[in-house]
Amino acid sequence: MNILYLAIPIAICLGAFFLYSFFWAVKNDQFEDMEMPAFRILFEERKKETIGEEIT
Amino acid sequence: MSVKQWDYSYLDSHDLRQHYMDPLDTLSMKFHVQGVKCGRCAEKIESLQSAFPEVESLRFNMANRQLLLGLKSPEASVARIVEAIEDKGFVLTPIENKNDLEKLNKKEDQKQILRLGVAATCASNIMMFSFANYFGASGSMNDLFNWLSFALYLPILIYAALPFYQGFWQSLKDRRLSVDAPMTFASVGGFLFSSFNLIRGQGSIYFDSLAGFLFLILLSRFLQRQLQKKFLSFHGEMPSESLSRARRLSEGQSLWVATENLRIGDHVLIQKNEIIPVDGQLISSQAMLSTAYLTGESEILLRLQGAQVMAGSILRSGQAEIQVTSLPSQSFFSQLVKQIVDQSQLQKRSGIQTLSDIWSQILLVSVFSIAGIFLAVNWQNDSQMAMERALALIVLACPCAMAFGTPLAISFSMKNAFKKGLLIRSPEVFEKVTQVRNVIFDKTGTLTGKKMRLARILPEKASQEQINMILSLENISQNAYADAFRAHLNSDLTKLLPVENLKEIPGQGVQGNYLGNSYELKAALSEVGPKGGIGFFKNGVQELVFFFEEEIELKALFLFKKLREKQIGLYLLSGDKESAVRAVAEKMELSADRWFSEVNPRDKAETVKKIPNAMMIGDGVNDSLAFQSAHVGVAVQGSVEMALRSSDIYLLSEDLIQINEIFSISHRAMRLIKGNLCISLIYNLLGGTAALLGLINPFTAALLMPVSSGFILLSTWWGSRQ
Repeated sequence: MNILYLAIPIAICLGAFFLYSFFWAVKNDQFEDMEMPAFRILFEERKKETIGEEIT
Repeated sequence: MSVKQWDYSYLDSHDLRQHYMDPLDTLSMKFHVQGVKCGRCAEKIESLQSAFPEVESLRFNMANRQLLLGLKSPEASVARIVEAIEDKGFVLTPIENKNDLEKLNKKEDQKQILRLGVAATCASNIMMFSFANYFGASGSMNDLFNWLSFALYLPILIYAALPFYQGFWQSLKDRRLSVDAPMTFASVGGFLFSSFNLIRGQGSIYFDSLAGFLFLILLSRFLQRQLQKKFLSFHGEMPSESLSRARRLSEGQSLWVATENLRIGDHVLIQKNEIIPVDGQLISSQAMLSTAYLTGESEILLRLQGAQVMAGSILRSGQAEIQVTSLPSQSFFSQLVKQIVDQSQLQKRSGIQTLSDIWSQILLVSVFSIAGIFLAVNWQNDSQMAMERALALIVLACPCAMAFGTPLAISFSMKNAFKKGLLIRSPEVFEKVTQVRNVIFDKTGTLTGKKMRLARILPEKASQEQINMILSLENISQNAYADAFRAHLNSDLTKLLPVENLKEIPGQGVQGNYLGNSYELKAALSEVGPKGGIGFFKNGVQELVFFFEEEIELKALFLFKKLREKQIGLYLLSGDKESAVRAVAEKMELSADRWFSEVNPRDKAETVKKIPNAMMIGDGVNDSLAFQSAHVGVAVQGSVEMALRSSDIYLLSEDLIQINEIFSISHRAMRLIKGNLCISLIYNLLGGTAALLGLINPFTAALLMPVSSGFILLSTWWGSRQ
């Protein structure tokens, strides 16, 4: 059971890291809009878009 | 590719940018977008970014339909970009930089989520260790896990539970107890007790229960807030954003300008299905309007050239030109919008303590007293057991019905009321309405006055010439007689005449000149037939007499029937002359002691005072004295802001039947609140007894409390559904 003396600190560090990521995400408005990011990955890349060109 | 019709350069004007941009961030601007139906539309908008090198970012938010435009430099032109987007078929409206309130709300939301996150992380990790102990870890492992639980509880103690401490402190300053009190005691007291046991090496420790309990309470508060935001925001219901701009006509060209920049005398062009942003006079020959937002009436009204049109009306005919007659901020509609927005964003606490507040106090004080007494009595015998049971009691006891259930029930009821066109000033109005035993009606403008019927014309008919003259004279008037004339006399043959010196003498009539003849509409000479007619005079000679009947709407009669069924006494109070009031009172089937005529405002207030538990229904401005004497005041018309200063309810739709609805809504709200209180009472009595008897330990108590809160929330939501 001595392995726990290693495992527990690692687990806590992992937890702390995730908590920090959570804080970062919330403060960076990552949770503001839940729907658009899903659409955005499907957008086509346009190199040079000119006004008036319709996306077909 | 559409033809360039409108000029967007107003978007680059200094005034507008100051108004709509955040002074600390002059590189970004937000717009509300209409017309985005799916991801493809959003793609169309966002892909325009590559066409404009001056754009740093263009991001559309599907949740609130907002477009965030980021520029590379403060001088970049916004107009070009907006024009390009609108060319694709969307409608953009700049969003005001509501710095204070919106940012504050957003920060609050974020903090709440962060606290929840911390509580979740710590609670779950504590669970992990304490379960190991429950399943038999012993010796030094057991101690290690206990100390880890202690360490993990600290973030919750000093960060996640902060709102409870703040709420508790605030309530102490208000000299009352709030639901934050038991939370605070549980969190801190439980911590101290458990730490003490931990250091001592004996006795139970409760870090896991407390952590889980605090997490669940934070979660339910978060859900409650989300529920309120989703179901109770008035954001989508009022079209405040589309009023921010208007097309100003100058030298035959139309230019988009911000509505605030319109001046009296400007000419504005309105298109079909657009909302008229400002009070004005109709320049076009005629227009069909819907005043649904203003009065709730779905009927389309006809207005002829020269007539007044109100901000907030929707144009249903093709195109109309309007001359601005009053500043945008002074229109009834903008007052209304402001009132509603204020109401939905600021949850004002009323001065009067409602039923649930009182019960909440009683419960909390009782719980703490009992816990304290129990502790004191048993301290000598078995302090360990005493602390445990007292802790269990405090953790279990929850004024959840009051803390969560009542506010939610009230909010739902206010929203339901608003849907029916009733604007409620504050939460305690519902309780007051259930106490009403008598209803007093004002006559003019409340029961009658909206519609007059043209009953008779003497001699027999009016010639088309006379009709043209009458309608031209009455064109500038908005009163019931004018509407009745228009309703009865207007036809395709009508031709409005250019009357000179057209003057309306309020309360008396109208007069004007045309082709050398003078014309008047005023009180008829009474040799001909019964009194009270309106005479049409040409050069001082009476040619026609019109007799009008006040119409009481069928809805009013229906309302009386409903109120009588509820055993509510009906009264009629009016300043009008006796004959007119008697006619209405007879239609209402009122006995002689129930109606009063020729009453001045002061006497009205006196009379109202004498009638017990009365609801007064009348005009917002004229009856304000009477409203203050009544138990509940309902204003049917008049300025919204002024009406709500003295009355409790404002009837937007002018549909009297909704008065009946307010009784239903109030009774339902009170039933819900009382039901919640009963459930809460039973739960607290049973649970509290069990806790004191040692049947429930703090761990179980920690589970029961959030469960009961959730149950109350669910039942409130269920009961408020319509």
